[in-house]
Amino acid sequence: MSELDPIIHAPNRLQICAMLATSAELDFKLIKFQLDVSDSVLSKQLKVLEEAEYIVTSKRSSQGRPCTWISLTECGRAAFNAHVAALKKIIA
Amino acid sequence: MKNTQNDTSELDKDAAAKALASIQSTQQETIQHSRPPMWLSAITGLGYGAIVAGYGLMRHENQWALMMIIGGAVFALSVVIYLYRCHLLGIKPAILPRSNASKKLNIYSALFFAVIVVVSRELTLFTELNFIPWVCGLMCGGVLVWLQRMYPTGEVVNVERPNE
Repeated sequence: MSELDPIIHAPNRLQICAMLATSAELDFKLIKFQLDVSDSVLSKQLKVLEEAEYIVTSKRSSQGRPCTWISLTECGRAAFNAHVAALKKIIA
Repeated sequence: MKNTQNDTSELDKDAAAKALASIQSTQQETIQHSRPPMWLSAITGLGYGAIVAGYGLMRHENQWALMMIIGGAVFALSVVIYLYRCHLLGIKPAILPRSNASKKLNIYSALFFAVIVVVSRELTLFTELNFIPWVCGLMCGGVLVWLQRMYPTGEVVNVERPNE
Protein backbone atom coordinates (compact mmCIF):
# COMPACT_ATOMS: atom_id res chain seq x y z
CA MET A 1 0.00 0.00 0.00
CA SER A 2 3.07 2.29 0.37
CA GLU A 3 3.10 3.26 -3.35
CA LEU A 4 -0.44 4.60 -3.23
CA ASP A 5 -0.74 8.38 -3.24
CA PRO A 6 -2.80 9.45 -0.18
CA ILE A 7 -3.78 12.73 -1.89
CA ILE A 8 -5.30 10.96 -4.89
CA HIS A 9 -6.62 7.91 -3.06
CA ALA A 10 -9.69 9.65 -1.54
CA PRO A 11 -12.71 8.54 -3.64
CA ASN A 12 -13.79 11.98 -4.85
CA ARG A 13 -10.25 13.10 -5.66
CA LEU A 14 -9.59 9.82 -7.45
CA GLN A 15 -12.66 10.40 -9.64
CA ILE A 16 -11.66 14.02 -10.28
CA CYS A 17 -8.20 12.93 -11.46
CA ALA A 18 -9.72 10.13 -13.57
CA MET A 19 -12.02 12.64 -15.28
CA LEU A 20 -9.26 15.17 -15.85
CA ALA A 21 -6.98 12.50 -17.35
CA THR A 22 -9.42 12.12 -20.26
CA SER A 23 -9.12 15.66 -21.63
CA ALA A 24 -7.13 18.88 -21.61
CA GLU A 25 -9.51 20.88 -19.39
CA LEU A 26 -12.90 20.36 -17.75
CA ASP A 27 -15.46 22.83 -16.47
CA PHE A 28 -16.15 22.94 -12.72
CA LYS A 29 -19.87 22.47 -13.38
CA LEU A 30 -19.30 19.29 -15.40
CA ILE A 31 -17.20 17.73 -12.63
CA LYS A 32 -19.81 18.75 -10.06
CA PHE A 33 -22.58 17.23 -12.18
CA GLN A 34 -20.73 13.95 -12.71
CA LEU A 35 -19.63 13.54 -9.11
CA ASP A 36 -23.01 14.66 -7.82
CA VAL A 37 -21.51 16.75 -4.99
CA SER A 38 -22.10 20.30 -3.75
CA ASP A 39 -19.99 23.30 -4.79
CA SER A 40 -18.33 23.48 -1.38
CA VAL A 41 -17.38 19.79 -1.30
CA LEU A 42 -15.90 19.97 -4.79
CA SER A 43 -14.04 23.21 -4.02
CA LYS A 44 -12.53 21.61 -0.94
CA GLN A 45 -11.34 18.55 -2.88
CA LEU A 46 -9.96 20.73 -5.68
CA LYS A 47 -8.08 22.87 -3.18
CA VAL A 48 -6.29 19.80 -1.79
CA LEU A 49 -5.27 18.77 -5.31
CA GLU A 50 -4.25 22.32 -6.19
CA GLU A 51 -2.09 22.65 -3.08
CA ALA A 52 -0.32 19.43 -4.07
CA GLU A 53 0.20 21.03 -7.54
CA TYR A 54 -1.68 18.17 -9.20
CA ILE A 55 -4.19 20.48 -10.87
CA VAL A 56 -4.41 24.08 -12.03
CA THR A 57 -7.59 26.12 -12.16
CA SER A 58 -8.26 29.11 -14.37
CA LYS A 59 -11.23 31.42 -14.21
CA ARG A 60 -12.46 32.65 -17.57
CA SER A 61 -15.71 34.24 -18.62
CA SER A 62 -17.74 32.58 -21.34
CA GLN A 63 -20.64 34.52 -22.89
CA GLY A 64 -20.69 36.89 -19.95
CA ARG A 65 -20.74 34.26 -17.20
CA PRO A 66 -17.69 33.17 -15.19
CA CYS A 67 -16.43 29.61 -15.68
CA THR A 68 -13.74 27.74 -13.80
CA TRP A 69 -11.68 25.40 -15.96
CA ILE A 70 -9.59 22.71 -14.32
CA SER A 71 -6.71 20.76 -15.81
CA LEU A 72 -4.26 18.14 -14.63
CA THR A 73 -0.61 19.24 -14.41
CA GLU A 74 2.25 17.07 -15.67
CA CYS A 75 3.03 16.27 -12.04
CA GLY A 76 -0.62 15.38 -11.40
CA ARG A 77 -0.80 13.18 -14.48
CA ALA A 78 2.37 11.34 -13.44
CA ALA A 79 1.03 10.90 -9.89
CA PHE A 80 -2.31 9.61 -11.19
CA ASN A 81 -0.61 7.14 -13.55
CA ALA A 82 1.65 5.95 -10.73
CA HIS A 83 -1.39 5.53 -8.48
CA VAL A 84 -3.24 3.48 -11.11
CA ALA A 85 -0.12 1.35 -11.64
CA ALA A 86 0.09 0.76 -7.86
CA LEU A 87 -3.58 -0.29 -7.75
CA LYS A 88 -3.04 -2.71 -10.63
CA LYS A 89 0.01 -4.12 -8.86
CA ILE A 90 -2.06 -4.83 -5.75
CA ILE A 91 -4.69 -6.84 -7.61
CA ALA A 92 -2.14 -8.65 -9.82
CA MET B 1 -1.47 -14.43 12.46
CA LYS B 2 -1.12 -15.73 8.90
CA ASN B 3 -4.92 -15.70 8.49
CA THR B 4 -5.09 -12.07 9.61
CA GLN B 5 -2.42 -11.16 7.03
CA ASN B 6 -4.31 -12.99 4.29
CA ASP B 7 -7.54 -11.22 5.26
CA THR B 8 -5.81 -7.83 5.15
CA SER B 9 -4.31 -8.59 1.75
CA GLU B 10 -7.74 -9.68 0.43
CA LEU B 11 -9.22 -6.45 1.77
CA ASP B 12 -6.49 -4.46 0.01
CA LYS B 13 -7.19 -6.33 -3.21
CA ASP B 14 -10.92 -5.64 -2.93
CA ALA B 15 -10.35 -1.95 -2.23
CA ALA B 16 -7.90 -1.70 -5.14
CA ALA B 17 -10.30 -3.47 -7.51
CA LYS B 18 -13.12 -1.13 -6.44
CA ALA B 19 -10.90 1.93 -6.95
CA LEU B 20 -9.91 0.74 -10.45
CA ALA B 21 -13.54 0.04 -11.33
CA SER B 22 -14.48 3.52 -10.10
CA ILE B 23 -11.73 5.08 -12.27
CA GLN B 24 -12.90 3.17 -15.33
CA SER B 25 -16.58 3.99 -14.88
CA THR B 26 -15.81 7.70 -14.29
CA GLN B 27 -13.66 7.85 -17.41
CA GLN B 28 -16.29 6.02 -19.47
CA GLU B 29 -18.94 8.47 -18.32
CA THR B 30 -16.76 11.44 -19.33
CA ILE B 31 -15.97 9.86 -22.69
CA GLN B 32 -19.64 9.07 -23.35
CA HIS B 33 -20.55 12.61 -22.36
CA SER B 34 -18.09 14.12 -24.82
CA ARG B 35 -18.74 11.67 -27.68
CA PRO B 36 -20.22 13.60 -30.63
CA PRO B 37 -23.60 12.54 -32.06
CA MET B 38 -23.40 9.98 -34.85
CA TRP B 39 -24.61 12.43 -37.51
CA LEU B 40 -21.75 14.82 -36.72
CA SER B 41 -19.18 12.00 -36.83
CA ALA B 42 -20.65 10.83 -40.16
CA ILE B 43 -20.41 14.35 -41.65
CA THR B 44 -16.80 14.69 -40.44
CA GLY B 45 -15.94 11.29 -41.95
CA LEU B 46 -17.68 12.08 -45.24
CA GLY B 47 -15.93 15.45 -45.48
CA TYR B 48 -12.54 13.89 -44.90
CA GLY B 49 -13.29 11.01 -47.27
CA ALA B 50 -14.28 13.54 -49.95
CA ILE B 51 -10.93 15.35 -49.52
CA VAL B 52 -8.96 12.10 -49.97
CA ALA B 53 -11.09 10.83 -52.89
CA GLY B 54 -11.11 14.25 -54.58
CA TYR B 55 -7.33 14.56 -54.30
CA GLY B 56 -6.83 11.06 -55.72
CA LEU B 57 -9.17 11.65 -58.68
CA MET B 58 -8.15 15.22 -59.46
CA ARG B 59 -6.45 15.65 -62.85
CA HIS B 60 -7.18 18.63 -64.97
CA GLU B 61 -10.92 18.50 -64.44
CA ASN B 62 -12.28 20.97 -61.95
CA GLN B 63 -15.09 18.74 -60.66
CA TRP B 64 -12.84 16.63 -58.40
CA ALA B 65 -10.98 19.69 -57.19
CA LEU B 66 -14.36 21.18 -56.37
CA MET B 67 -15.30 18.00 -54.47
CA MET B 68 -12.04 18.30 -52.51
CA ILE B 69 -12.73 21.96 -51.66
CA ILE B 70 -16.33 21.26 -50.63
CA GLY B 71 -15.15 18.25 -48.60
CA GLY B 72 -12.57 20.46 -46.89
CA ALA B 73 -15.18 23.10 -46.06
CA VAL B 74 -17.60 20.47 -44.69
CA PHE B 75 -14.79 18.87 -42.66
CA ALA B 76 -13.66 22.23 -41.20
CA LEU B 77 -17.24 23.21 -40.36
CA SER B 78 -17.95 19.88 -38.63
CA VAL B 79 -14.75 20.22 -36.56
CA VAL B 80 -15.78 23.74 -35.52
CA ILE B 81 -19.26 22.46 -34.52
CA TYR B 82 -17.64 19.60 -32.56
CA LEU B 83 -15.28 21.95 -30.68
CA TYR B 84 -18.10 24.40 -29.93
CA ARG B 85 -20.29 21.54 -28.65
CA CYS B 86 -17.44 20.40 -26.39
CA HIS B 87 -17.04 23.95 -25.11
CA LEU B 88 -20.74 24.13 -24.26
CA LEU B 89 -20.52 20.77 -22.47
CA GLY B 90 -17.56 22.02 -20.40
CA ILE B 91 -14.88 19.90 -22.05
CA LYS B 92 -11.74 21.09 -23.77
CA PRO B 93 -10.40 18.24 -25.93
CA ALA B 94 -6.65 17.73 -26.00
CA ILE B 95 -5.39 19.02 -29.36
CA LEU B 96 -1.81 18.12 -28.47
CA PRO B 97 -1.68 14.70 -26.77
CA ARG B 98 -0.25 14.54 -23.27
CA SER B 99 0.05 10.85 -22.40
CA ASN B 100 2.47 8.55 -24.21
CA ALA B 101 -0.37 6.30 -25.40
CA SER B 102 -2.11 9.32 -26.98
CA LYS B 103 1.13 10.47 -28.63
CA LYS B 104 1.59 6.98 -30.12
CA LEU B 105 -2.00 6.93 -31.38
CA ASN B 106 -1.60 10.37 -32.98
CA ILE B 107 1.64 9.40 -34.71
CA TYR B 108 0.22 6.10 -36.03
CA SER B 109 -3.00 7.70 -37.27
CA ALA B 110 -1.10 10.59 -38.92
CA LEU B 111 1.17 8.05 -40.66
CA PHE B 112 -1.85 6.00 -41.75
CA PHE B 113 -3.66 9.02 -43.22
CA ALA B 114 -0.48 10.27 -44.96
CA VAL B 115 0.25 6.86 -46.49
CA ILE B 116 -3.35 6.39 -47.69
CA VAL B 117 -3.47 9.85 -49.29
CA VAL B 118 -0.19 9.28 -51.15
CA VAL B 119 -1.12 5.71 -52.14
CA SER B 120 -4.53 6.88 -53.36
CA ARG B 121 -3.01 9.55 -55.61
CA GLU B 122 0.01 7.66 -56.93
CA LEU B 123 -1.71 4.32 -57.49
CA THR B 124 -4.50 5.98 -59.45
CA LEU B 125 -2.00 7.87 -61.61
CA PHE B 126 -0.08 4.68 -62.39
CA THR B 127 -2.93 2.23 -62.84
CA GLU B 128 -5.74 4.54 -64.02
CA LEU B 129 -8.11 2.57 -61.77
CA ASN B 130 -10.57 5.21 -60.62
CA PHE B 131 -12.13 3.17 -57.82
CA ILE B 132 -8.92 3.32 -55.71
CA PRO B 133 -9.44 6.90 -54.40
CA TRP B 134 -13.02 6.04 -53.45
CA VAL B 135 -11.81 3.01 -51.45
CA CYS B 136 -9.06 5.10 -49.83
CA GLY B 137 -11.52 7.91 -49.05
CA LEU B 138 -13.89 5.40 -47.47
CA MET B 139 -11.04 3.93 -45.40
CA CYS B 140 -9.85 7.36 -44.18
CA GLY B 141 -13.40 8.51 -43.38
CA GLY B 142 -14.14 5.25 -41.56
CA VAL B 143 -10.97 5.40 -39.48
CA LEU B 144 -11.64 9.04 -38.60
CA VAL B 145 -15.17 8.23 -37.45
CA TRP B 146 -13.82 5.32 -35.39
CA LEU B 147 -11.16 7.56 -33.78
CA GLN B 148 -13.76 10.22 -33.00
CA ARG B 149 -16.10 7.65 -31.43
CA MET B 150 -13.41 5.89 -29.40
CA TYR B 151 -11.25 8.87 -28.37
CA PRO B 152 -13.49 11.96 -28.57
CA THR B 153 -11.39 13.98 -26.12
CA GLY B 154 -8.10 13.22 -27.86
CA GLU B 155 -6.70 11.26 -24.92
CA VAL B 156 -6.37 7.48 -24.86
CA VAL B 157 -8.24 5.85 -21.98
CA ASN B 158 -9.46 2.29 -21.58
CA VAL B 159 -13.08 2.43 -22.65
CA GLU B 160 -15.60 -0.10 -23.84
CA ARG B 161 -16.91 0.07 -27.39
CA PRO B 162 -19.84 2.46 -27.80
CA ASN B 163 -23.27 0.83 -28.00
CA GLU B 164 -24.54 2.47 -31.13
